[in-house]
Amino acid sequence: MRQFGLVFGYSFMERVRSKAFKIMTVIMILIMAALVFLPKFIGGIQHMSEGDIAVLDTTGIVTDTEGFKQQVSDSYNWRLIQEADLAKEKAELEKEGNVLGIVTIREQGNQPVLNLTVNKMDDASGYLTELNRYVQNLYTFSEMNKLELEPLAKERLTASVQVEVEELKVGSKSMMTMYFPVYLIMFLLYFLIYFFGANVATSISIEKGSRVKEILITKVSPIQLLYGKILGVGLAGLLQFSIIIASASLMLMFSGSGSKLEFIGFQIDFSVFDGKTVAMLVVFFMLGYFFYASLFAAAGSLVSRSEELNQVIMPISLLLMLGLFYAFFNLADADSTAALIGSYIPFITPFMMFIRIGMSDPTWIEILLPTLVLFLCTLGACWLSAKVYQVGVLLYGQKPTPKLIYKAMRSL
Amino acid sequence: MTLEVKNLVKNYGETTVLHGISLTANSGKAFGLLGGNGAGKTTTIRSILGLVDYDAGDVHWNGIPILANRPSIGYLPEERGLYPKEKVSEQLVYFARLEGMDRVSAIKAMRDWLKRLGIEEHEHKRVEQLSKGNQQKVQIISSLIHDPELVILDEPFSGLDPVNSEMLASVVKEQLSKGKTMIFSSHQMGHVEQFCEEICILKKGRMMVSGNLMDIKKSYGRRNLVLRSENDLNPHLAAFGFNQGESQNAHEWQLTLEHEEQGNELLQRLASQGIDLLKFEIKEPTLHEIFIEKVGDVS
Repeated sequence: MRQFGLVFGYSFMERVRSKAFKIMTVIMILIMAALVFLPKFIGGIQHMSEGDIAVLDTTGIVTDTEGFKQQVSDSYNWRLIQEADLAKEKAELEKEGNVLGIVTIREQGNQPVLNLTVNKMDDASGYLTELNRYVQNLYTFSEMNKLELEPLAKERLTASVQVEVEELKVGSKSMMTMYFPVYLIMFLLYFLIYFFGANVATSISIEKGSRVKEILITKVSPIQLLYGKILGVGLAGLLQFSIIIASASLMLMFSGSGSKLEFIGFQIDFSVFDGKTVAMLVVFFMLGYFFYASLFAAAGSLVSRSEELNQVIMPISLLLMLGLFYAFFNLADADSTAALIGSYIPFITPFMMFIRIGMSDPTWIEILLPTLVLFLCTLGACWLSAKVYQVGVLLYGQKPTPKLIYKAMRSL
Repeated sequence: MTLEVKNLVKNYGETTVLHGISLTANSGKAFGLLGGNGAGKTTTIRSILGLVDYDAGDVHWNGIPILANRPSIGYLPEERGLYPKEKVSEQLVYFARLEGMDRVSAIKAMRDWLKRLGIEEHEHKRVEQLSKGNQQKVQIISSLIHDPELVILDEPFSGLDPVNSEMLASVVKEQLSKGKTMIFSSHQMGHVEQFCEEICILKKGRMMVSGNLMDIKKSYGRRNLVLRSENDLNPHLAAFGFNQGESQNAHEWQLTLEHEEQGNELLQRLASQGIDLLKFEIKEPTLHEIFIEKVGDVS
């Protein structure tokens, strides 16, 4: 146990001290900062005025420009002009100065005509519909006022329809609120398992390549070496993850967004996760990590030099990716038969179960059984990995074919 | 403290890589394990370390199977076994603690050893920053830092210059004087002759020669003759049946005799002809010569 602790501690420190760990943490924090602050920054730019739009009204329905700013677009500086200024404003528009558009409202044969002059149609695409609707409203009000109606009739005419939505299954998980948080967290789960698992493989292949393993194995049993390493690297990963999440939360707090993150135009609110979901996320991260890290470790112990590692871990990376995609395809329908079956296949379980818990409300049995299956398969993977690890130390310069590994395992 | 290996047999599938290897190494003595590449030295060492499950035979420590009675072992593998990107101090302390030392004594032992081998200034450097010779010194420290009872050194002198070789030789001698049991494997026969009383030469997993080095040499007889003279000996040697050009070196001739008496006959004949000799020496074969004869494909 003492040796296990030493291996664990050393693997942990080795990871934390490494350059890769520090660089990765900094990069991830920068990405998080970009996610939190960039939309605000871009939003801030958008709130600044892009330029002027000159408004010439000869009908008298426009009294001020405040309405344009509030109801059409607040990205522009709306400005009322007189007939005499029109030529000057047009010249300014043509030489692409500060004037981005000229709106004229005139009466032609009892018909109001809204005329918009821009350099290119694209310049007006953002506000044309709103402008049309707003001027239409102004005209309606002005005409209605001319009719001198009773106040009650006026009120009835201008009343807007109230929209009321009645939700029958109040409290059940809604696709709209859950989709993106689950999507993001699942991706994070994949990334973490892959990243830490590959770290274990790298770390072991370095020990193998530098022949440290040959020394270590005379001092410590392979099982202790293997699990000390997997736990040490895993804990370092968890520490890294915590640092990133903690700094992201701090940034969210300081930016004043609360638990909401705006991501490519979508509001993602992480407060939709309850305690149970978070607890299960931790369980599936642990089980998924151990399952995949054992496989990665076995792969790492088969190569002679760490340069050969990529080739050997490829099948495991593919399996992991397959698990992620399978879960992705069933994200929209977490209660389908495919989703249910997927939750029992160990390499898919961590992702699929998280989706089922996040997006739907599986029964306790539906949660416990797949977890148990994954747990047993993880034990199996650990056993197999320990065997391969023990054999792997003696294989140098030989191509690790399945036949060779099988033969070597038999000879143990 | 005795290490005893008896009739070790190891098969990899159809191929037998060890055909009944036996050796005994005693306290304060070094056992020389020799052989060319692929002779089975590393497999023998790994069997002793318990890394390989052999198919037949026994490895005993003080008469008890070594796996049940594991001594503390200092193993220096033929190739470097260090973390290239980790500091010297960190890994040496780690290795020492894995062998049961506490942190404080591990650090003290590490500093003593670094000083002893003259590399104390490298304590906080990463191994990859060190020269090959200094890396080898760190490796040597890693195998001796925990004061092991059984020391297994596989090519310990590789990469060391003559000065550092001398330093290591004194370390090896000191370990032996402390009563350590040692298995010593090297291609440099000079070092083996310096430390080992018992040797074994392996070829393709078989023991070609084994036993006390002096006895082995004696059994080969004294057949190397060295002569020095100011006269030209070539005509006389030719008359006696020796090839003229054989190993002539200025005024020194090295000859291989068919048997020891041949030398005395030659001496009498030269004396009877009034030839003055400055040197007449009949020597045992060197270990190098025995090794070449047994391992090389001369036979």
